[in-house]
Amino acid sequence: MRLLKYIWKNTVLKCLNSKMTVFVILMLVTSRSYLNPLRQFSMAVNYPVSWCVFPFAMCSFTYLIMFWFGVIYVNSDVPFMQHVNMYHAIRVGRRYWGLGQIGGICLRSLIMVLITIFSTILPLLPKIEWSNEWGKLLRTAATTNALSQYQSSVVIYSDIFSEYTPLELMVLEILVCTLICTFVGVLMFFLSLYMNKIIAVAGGLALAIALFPVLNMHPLIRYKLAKLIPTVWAELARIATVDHTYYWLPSLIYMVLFLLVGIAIMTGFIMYKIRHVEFNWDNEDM
Amino acid sequence: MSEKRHVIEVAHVNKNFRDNKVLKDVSLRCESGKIYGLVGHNGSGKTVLFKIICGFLSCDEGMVSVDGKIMGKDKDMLTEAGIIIEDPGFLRNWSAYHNLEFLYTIRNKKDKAYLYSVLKKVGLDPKMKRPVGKFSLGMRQRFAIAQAIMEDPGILILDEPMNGLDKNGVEEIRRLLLQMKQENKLIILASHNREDIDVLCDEVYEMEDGVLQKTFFAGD
Repeated sequence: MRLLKYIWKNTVLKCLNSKMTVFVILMLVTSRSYLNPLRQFSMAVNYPVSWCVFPFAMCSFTYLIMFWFGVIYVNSDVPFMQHVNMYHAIRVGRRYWGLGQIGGICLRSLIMVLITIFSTILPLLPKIEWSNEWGKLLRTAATTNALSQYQSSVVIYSDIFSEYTPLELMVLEILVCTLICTFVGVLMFFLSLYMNKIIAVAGGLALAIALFPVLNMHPLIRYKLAKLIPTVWAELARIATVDHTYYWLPSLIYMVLFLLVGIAIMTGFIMYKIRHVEFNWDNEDM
Repeated sequence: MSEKRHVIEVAHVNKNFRDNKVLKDVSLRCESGKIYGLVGHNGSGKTVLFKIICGFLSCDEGMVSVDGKIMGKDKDMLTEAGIIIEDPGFLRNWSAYHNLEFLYTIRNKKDKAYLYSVLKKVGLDPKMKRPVGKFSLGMRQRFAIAQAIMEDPGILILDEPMNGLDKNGVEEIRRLLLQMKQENKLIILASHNREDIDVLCDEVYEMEDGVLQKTFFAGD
């Protein structure tokens, strides 16, 4: 109970800071810009648009990379050695402090995903359709080139419509994106403890930039590479898409297991390191 | 009176930062009900010793034990201590009360009236909305003292607690520390001010280039 309380307090602290404010503004502006064509299309044909556009926005390369840059920027407060953490560690001990940081990364990841979802709904609010149907507008956008007339870089993939309802896809997207964000955050924490903060940020950026080669490779190589680069898996709306007989993404079970096992292994190494690491506090603001 | 008695034992502690030997065979024994003073130049190793006692740093040789428990083996952090080490770094955009409440509720239930009384005890207005980042150095120091004492810890490790305080502030904090000594607390403080040391401390140690030597007892 005490640990849960500390994780919650840590999450509040990790979310109420200037880095998180920058992330919120970044996602609001990016979403407004990337979803404006869909909004214009909706206005022009006078049809409401499904609330479930976040998974499709995440399939746009530039939107996705902005999201990952934001996530890495927020997580660049690793290894959590701001002075204020000294007063936490002395109160809870090393073990709880470490678990509190990892729990905080996990909850902050969920909050970042929810903020991004909210930022995709906000620009479409006057024309949102709150139902568990994909609706005429998205189906039309997926099967015709109507959306391209509005210079939209967000593509609607029709293959997903037969696999999941909007609610199912959104729940899965929240789960997968939260796990990927946690994976990236825990990886950065791990690298900052075993090496240093610069390598931690570089490691996070490498995962984000890896999107570029993965998405531009020959389908056979991409299919194999995509199994190792979790940042690509945020394109969950393409999970049913087949390209040259290869699926765009690995299976859902593979992704979730990979992320859970990866987070668990890194948590083990982090907790081992925290038992012995020398705490050197710095004056970075929270 | 605090019922639990505490004993801190530092035995033959050595600490190196690469080739720089920061602590050389440091030994010290502290008990509840006394104030121990540590004097020394900047960079002489006082803060490193405090960090080792608290559990933030480990020693290369020797050991630190608290109530018979060896730091780094039986316990990893001196969780029963109230501390001020280096700059008091808090949440700069939060008020003093909200900063205190955040730390206090890590281990305790929210108690607004009690936290108000702690802030008053160190001479701060509990209802002040001004963020801590806009405090003067003296106010920040008073606030740091409030943070250290608010959970009624049995041990206090205070690195330069009078830094930036005006004359009245120094007097108030001295009275507070003497009262805590009467309550059987174990207090170790570092100070550059000889008068603080003379007025407050029962035993005084001088740190020079990592070597710790006892200089005088109370009444000498």
